[in-house]
Amino acid sequence: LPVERVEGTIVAKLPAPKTILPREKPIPKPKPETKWQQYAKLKGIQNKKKARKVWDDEIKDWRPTWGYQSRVNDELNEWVLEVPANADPYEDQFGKAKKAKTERVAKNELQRMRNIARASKLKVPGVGLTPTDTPSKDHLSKALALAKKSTASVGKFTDSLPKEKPVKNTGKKRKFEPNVGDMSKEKSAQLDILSKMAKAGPTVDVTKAMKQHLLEEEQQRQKANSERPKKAKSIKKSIKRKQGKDTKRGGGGKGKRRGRK
Amino acid sequence: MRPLTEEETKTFFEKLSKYIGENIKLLIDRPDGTYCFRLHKDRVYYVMEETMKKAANISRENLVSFGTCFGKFTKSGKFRLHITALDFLAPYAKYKIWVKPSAEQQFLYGHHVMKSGLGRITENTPQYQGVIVYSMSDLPLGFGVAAKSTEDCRRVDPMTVVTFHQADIGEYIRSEDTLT
Repeated sequence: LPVERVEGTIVAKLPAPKTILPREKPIPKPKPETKWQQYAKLKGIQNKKKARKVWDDEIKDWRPTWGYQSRVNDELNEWVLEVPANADPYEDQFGKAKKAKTERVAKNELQRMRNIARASKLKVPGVGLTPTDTPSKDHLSKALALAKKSTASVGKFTDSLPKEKPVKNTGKKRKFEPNVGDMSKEKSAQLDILSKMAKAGPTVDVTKAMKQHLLEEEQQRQKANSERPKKAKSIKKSIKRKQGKDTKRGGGGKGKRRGRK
Repeated sequence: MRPLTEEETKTFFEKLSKYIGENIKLLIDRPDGTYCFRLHKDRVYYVMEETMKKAANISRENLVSFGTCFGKFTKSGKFRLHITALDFLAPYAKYKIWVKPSAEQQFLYGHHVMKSGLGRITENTPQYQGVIVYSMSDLPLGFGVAAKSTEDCRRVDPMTVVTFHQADIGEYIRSEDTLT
């Protein structure tokens, strides 16, 4: 074998390997894709590599693009924060910024956990109702129902308020009629709905009623006009006024109806 | 596939009654077989009971259509009538509009009907009433909404719209892929 000297010791140079050794461990399974990776693959978005450090002109030095000493966390280290024009002057802006940061971190953590849960195909319970600043009516009713249920005996002994309506459907699943149910029952139910609709009767159309009323008045006045030609001028005026009212109302009614159609 | 809930049935019947009034009874209670309405992917299908039972064996992604599609529910819960319902609604139509041959093409391309193209109109059509549009040879062409009542139609000038276009049989060619 050829021999050479490396750093004082005599080393033999071995030839290149010819036999391929088999793998010790099996090929790693492909990692399950996260939600973003699936979307990026679908849309064909390529990952643009960002440089590790970015030149910062204010400090005149290189700063990391993300993480520990980057500009991302500068808002938290500010010694003065402006109060925006629409904010309460006594609000704690520093506390607000800190809270926003913790919320962002928590959200990121939640997304990460969701990705893992989706990958591991475990049954994860839903996150339920998250706290909001401005709860809607739907949100409040759900919160009330949950609060009633959240006792040791799962809401069996919680009393409801005197005029409180029972909860409609708490679960996610809606219940529908069976597909191949009793046909005659279905028919009778539909005919019931029809009869209820027919019973409600023709809705009184205010604009139509107004028009009819004005038309009748106009006809009466025209009759009076033909009997008493002396009062023609005043009647003409009143008819003109009435016609003006009529068209305005008619236009309003049209506008309303068109929106609905 | 599932039957319609009460609110859905109500919305659906209200829309139908705009065109055929109380003749919906004749669609529900038919002497020649039990027909039913079923909802599948937001579309309402009118189908015979036996066909429905057979269609129930096909999975949801694979089932495209069964019976006749009457229309679909939009995302906001409103019901939109499709042209495929014409065959069932035309015989029971309460208010009809006949269109002159010159204006037929315009309507079939999706435009509204002007007074110049209006041939005949049933008496006492209220304004904004749902109407079925026929050609002069009594061939149903589609659905519309009366823009003017019958009396108004007589008075207006020939360039005003008398019927708003809702659906026409030209859609079978124009929107071939979206109709089921």
